[in-house]
Amino acid sequence: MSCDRIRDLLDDLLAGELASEVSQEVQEHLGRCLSCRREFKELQELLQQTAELPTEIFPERDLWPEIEMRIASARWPAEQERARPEPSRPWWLYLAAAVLALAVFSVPLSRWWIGQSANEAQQARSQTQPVVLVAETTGSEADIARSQDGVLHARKDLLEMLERRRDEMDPEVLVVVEENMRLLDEAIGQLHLALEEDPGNRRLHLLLATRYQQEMNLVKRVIRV
Amino acid sequence: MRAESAIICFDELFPVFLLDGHVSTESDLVSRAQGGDLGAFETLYRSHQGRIYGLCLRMVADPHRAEDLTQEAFIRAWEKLAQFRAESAFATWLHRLAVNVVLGDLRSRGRWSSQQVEIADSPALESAATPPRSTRKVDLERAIAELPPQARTVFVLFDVEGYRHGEIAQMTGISEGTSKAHLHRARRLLRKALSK
Repeated sequence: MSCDRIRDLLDDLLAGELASEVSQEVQEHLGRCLSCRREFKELQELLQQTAELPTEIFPERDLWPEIEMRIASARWPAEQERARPEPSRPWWLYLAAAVLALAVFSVPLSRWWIGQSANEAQQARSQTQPVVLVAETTGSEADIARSQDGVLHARKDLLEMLERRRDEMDPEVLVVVEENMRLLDEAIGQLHLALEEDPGNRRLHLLLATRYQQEMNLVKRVIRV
Repeated sequence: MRAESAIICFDELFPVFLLDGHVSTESDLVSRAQGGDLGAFETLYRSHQGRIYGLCLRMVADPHRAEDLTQEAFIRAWEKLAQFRAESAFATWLHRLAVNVVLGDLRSRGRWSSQQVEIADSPALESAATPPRSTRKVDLERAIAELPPQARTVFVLFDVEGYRHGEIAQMTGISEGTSKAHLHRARRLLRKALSK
């Protein structure tokens, strides 16, 4: 067999997948061919190095809060919500939340996808769609508060990362992003005010958490541009 | 209240956890999570995140995407937890699910079928000097990240994660022969990159 053919068979030799007579022929060749023997040794060293790679690599930030948030947003069926007695609350809170949601979602987010493919832009837009499930979820206050704590922590990390990359960003993109961030922050501020009036309002809590999540999604997308 | 949990003995075959002051096996945690206990699921996440993130990162070579895919894999796991039967280890089931999440992402981005340049074309690798022993693992990680997607996927699944060609063929939809060809190419490119 030629050296090229022998080298093609080295993977199978290491995997023990060669018929015995072929295996013997390859090994005899390796015994007398320095070049192929060197190649075989390099292959063994590569596999040794690969075997020594760590089996675990940990992400730089805690991914759990967002996982928990998404699970919490989807887990509780609407029946539980219907079974709970609705606390009385001022009508204007619902109106405020609705107006804020409308304001946030009407912002033309597509502008800052300039330069990306139509497909990517479509994906990006779909990520900014309102989370309809919010209106159907309940969850305990403790669950919601826990999720929000985690989200606030992740949000802080992301905003710091955005600040560090500010100088590298296209000024036009930056303007649009900042406008979106301002609107989201405004909505978040209004929701906090509403929650001061009605701290036990789960829908407002979840709406707030969703705004934080949208803000994080926005920053994550921008950081990657 | 947040579940107070800790891994007190992590052995891949028989991990033991301390959850809410009680010693639990992984099987206990899975049962509790199947019953809707998010605290138990968080403990499972904490003990498996390193394996899953490592898998995602090596397969896509992008830390941000790897984070998204890790989150997606655990959310998918939560959604499908009711389907998990203790016929295989939870880690095996979760790992397989994560591989499918990553492969789905690669397919959706058209990265699985694209043809890539040879690794020698990479300026980062061209400039690499012969590494001292202590940096060889880093260089190997970097060289893996620079592989063409298909070759990288097969290399990571076969040589790093221990799947067989038959399993890789089943998961990716390529033939066993093609899987072997990608592995051969990946190993050749890695040897070439590391010998510079």
